[in-house]
Amino acid sequence: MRSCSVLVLVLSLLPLGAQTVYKVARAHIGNGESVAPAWVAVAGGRITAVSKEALSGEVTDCGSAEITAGLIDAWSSAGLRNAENENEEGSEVTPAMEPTVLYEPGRPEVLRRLQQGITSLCIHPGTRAVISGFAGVVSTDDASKAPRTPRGFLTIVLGLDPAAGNFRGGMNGFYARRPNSRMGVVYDVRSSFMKVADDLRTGRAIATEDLPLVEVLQGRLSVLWYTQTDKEIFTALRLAEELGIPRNICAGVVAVGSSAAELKARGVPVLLGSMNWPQYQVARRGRRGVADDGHAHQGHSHGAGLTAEVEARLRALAEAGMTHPIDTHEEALFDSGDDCCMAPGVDLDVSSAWKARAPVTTQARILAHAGVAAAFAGGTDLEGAQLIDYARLAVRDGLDPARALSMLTLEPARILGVAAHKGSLEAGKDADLVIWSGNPLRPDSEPRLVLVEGRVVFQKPVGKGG
Amino acid sequence: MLHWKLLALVVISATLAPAQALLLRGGRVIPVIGPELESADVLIRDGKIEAVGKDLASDGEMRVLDVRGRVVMPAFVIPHTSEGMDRPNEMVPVTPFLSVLDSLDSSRPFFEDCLRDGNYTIAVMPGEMTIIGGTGTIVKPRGLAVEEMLITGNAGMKLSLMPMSGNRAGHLAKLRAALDDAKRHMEDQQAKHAGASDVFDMDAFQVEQRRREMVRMLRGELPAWIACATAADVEQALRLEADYKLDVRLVLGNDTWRAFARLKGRKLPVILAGEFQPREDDPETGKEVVRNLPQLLKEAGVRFAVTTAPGSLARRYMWYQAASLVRCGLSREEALAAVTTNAAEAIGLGARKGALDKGRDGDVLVLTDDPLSGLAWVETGIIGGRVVYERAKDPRLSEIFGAGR
Repeated sequence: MRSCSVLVLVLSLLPLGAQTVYKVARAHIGNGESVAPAWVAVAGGRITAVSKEALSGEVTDCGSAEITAGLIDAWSSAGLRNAENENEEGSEVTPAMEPTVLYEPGRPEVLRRLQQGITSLCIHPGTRAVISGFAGVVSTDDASKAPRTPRGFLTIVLGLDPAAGNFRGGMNGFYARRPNSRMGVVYDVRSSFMKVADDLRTGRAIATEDLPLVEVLQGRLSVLWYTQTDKEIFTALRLAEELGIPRNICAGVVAVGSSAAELKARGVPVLLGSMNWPQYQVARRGRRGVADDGHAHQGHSHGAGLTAEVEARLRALAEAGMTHPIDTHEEALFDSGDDCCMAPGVDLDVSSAWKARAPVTTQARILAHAGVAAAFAGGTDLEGAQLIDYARLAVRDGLDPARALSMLTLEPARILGVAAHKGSLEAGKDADLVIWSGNPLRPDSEPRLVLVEGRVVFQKPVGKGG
Repeated sequence: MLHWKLLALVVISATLAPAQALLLRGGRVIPVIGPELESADVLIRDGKIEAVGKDLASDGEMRVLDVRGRVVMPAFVIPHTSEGMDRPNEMVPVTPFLSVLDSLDSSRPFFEDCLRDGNYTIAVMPGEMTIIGGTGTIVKPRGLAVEEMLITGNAGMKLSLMPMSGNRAGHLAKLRAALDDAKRHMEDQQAKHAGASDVFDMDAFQVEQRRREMVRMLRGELPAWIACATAADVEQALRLEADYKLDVRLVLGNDTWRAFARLKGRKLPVILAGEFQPREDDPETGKEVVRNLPQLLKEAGVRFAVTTAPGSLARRYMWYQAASLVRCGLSREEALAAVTTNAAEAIGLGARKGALDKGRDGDVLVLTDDPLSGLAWVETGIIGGRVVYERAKDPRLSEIFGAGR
């Protein structure tokens, strides 16, 4: 790390106004264009120019390295002590919760993200409450002077996450509490907004903690709906229409198909969820399944719900020599093993379970075809993977490389409303930069230099064991 | 174990109809051993690779595949995994009599994905939550019955030095007690029935069934795969090797790097099964330090294989593991060897698998792109000279991508 601190020292000693120039083999601008070779100039924490021609200043020749804007993880709980479960346990409706004020950029998981080239995070509260609190965009660098937007979005969780664990001990159990079902979760959303709408109509004083709901209804605050599958996306869109919520984003999405056209029609953008989620995880129905009401169903004859269509597909698989024999495949489909870490109680019907085996990277293609604005987001699974891997796998799946990169830079910046400062290599934007050892979309390349607002915050020592 | 051998024989003889010779014509060939060849051919006959080179002659009997613009390389070898079973371990610490064969489930999605991803030699071993976990097996991802999938029925005994209850000394004492017990039994039976046979004979010496695999390991007939979590575990593994004359294969976890220098020049098969660049806290400064394990192994002069690991891509794709090794500073050749030749050697199949070389098994991949590009799909997968996978006919991919993709 010595060379890194030396470099930082050099940078800080530069006379005010002088610009640092990085010469790279290619600059991926973020808006679909790229410049090769490129000179990228930085001064005062901002990008001052990106050019095909040589620029004057303190030039660092990065050889065959390529540059992108800093990556944005649009759905993260890094930097929060309670990680996934940053919720007030006392209530299901806590619109005034602000987990971003608890965000600690020095935490190891944040540093790891920085070293992957992630310079901004959208921090969200936990998914155990229904109206869970505020989400907002923060920098991964300690010293960032960029204003945090702690009240960027209001997070509302649909599906069964908020009901998880509420049924312990059965109906009369000590721990039993509402909501226990998908419809119970929706009821909490509906009743909260209806109460506020009623207050507004009758001129009653609004409780301070309900003020965010008013902002939502007035279109001054967007809702980040946590909707994993089509089913919940449809519910979110229905609720938004019914309650008159004008600005909506769907987040944590891992299985999207039938709702794509509807998302497009309403101009609702999507933050995709973890790519780990669907790969070995299919419906848990049948033998050990959990149905919509949260009750475990024992002793179903497995495969009871198989449609003729699915059966035909199974047969085609067997004929093509796939390793799933017809008679046991149902079991593989329904009982996919101990490593199944699907959110508790999440239940898909057979046909969508089948589709859910497609990783989110292929779902990016579905959304691209439908013309829905979408971004990748790492969520919790970045301990074993890199955010850039989402773009890499998506390109392998046939997504245009420039679009794949923009889904980690400019697209999330636009969806999160920070595109004026972040997300692309354009003069005037913050100098949040990643210099990669080669083409960032190749799995054998990695960040060599990461800058936040012009400061070198990470430099990878090359060719050392540690 | 006898019944498995018999069954395997029956099934193999049933499927031994002579395969048509297969000529892959005009691809970029990565033999892994030896230089890469532009527009070259690979000929597979009777399940084995017969020739690799330019302009090989074809005859009318052969099936010729035009693979111009494609990359031809040996199939990947997963040298250690516990996938493909219902549970990696029995909840009893010493179970040398268990066999992965009785747990393998050919219908698990894992094997189907292996077929699709080009992992055609898979060593399935019991997991790490054990002291002596039982014997593992090496399979190919093709076949409805386990017997059809077998490459090596009994690949060796899995030992784990990762303490199950947090007590290292106790863990090791139980392990040694089990080894001593088997050794004593072996010696007792041999002495008792010395007249029954001139050579060591399990039946003649009436060796107990449940101890036979342990006895085989102690006699050096069966390798001992020892999982190590820390450098101290590596030290213990080396001690076990010396004390019991075991044929040791090391499965190394994240914190083993301080012992890498001790492996220098020992020629032990080494499988790196943890993260490539784990982080640890410096006890003095509290600062996080990244250890580059592949680089450290290389510096110690240890040849090693890598295997699948937790993580979205590392879990499935051996090409991703190879690309990650390049990221760690290894050369392209070293990285590809770690997922092919080195992996095959580490599991005792060095002469049969892992390279495109005359006489080796015809396990070959036709890829759409370079394996390290991150863009490659298996277009055609070949096991033992037979086409077992064609991407164009993969119903699951058609389902996901639509017919056109």
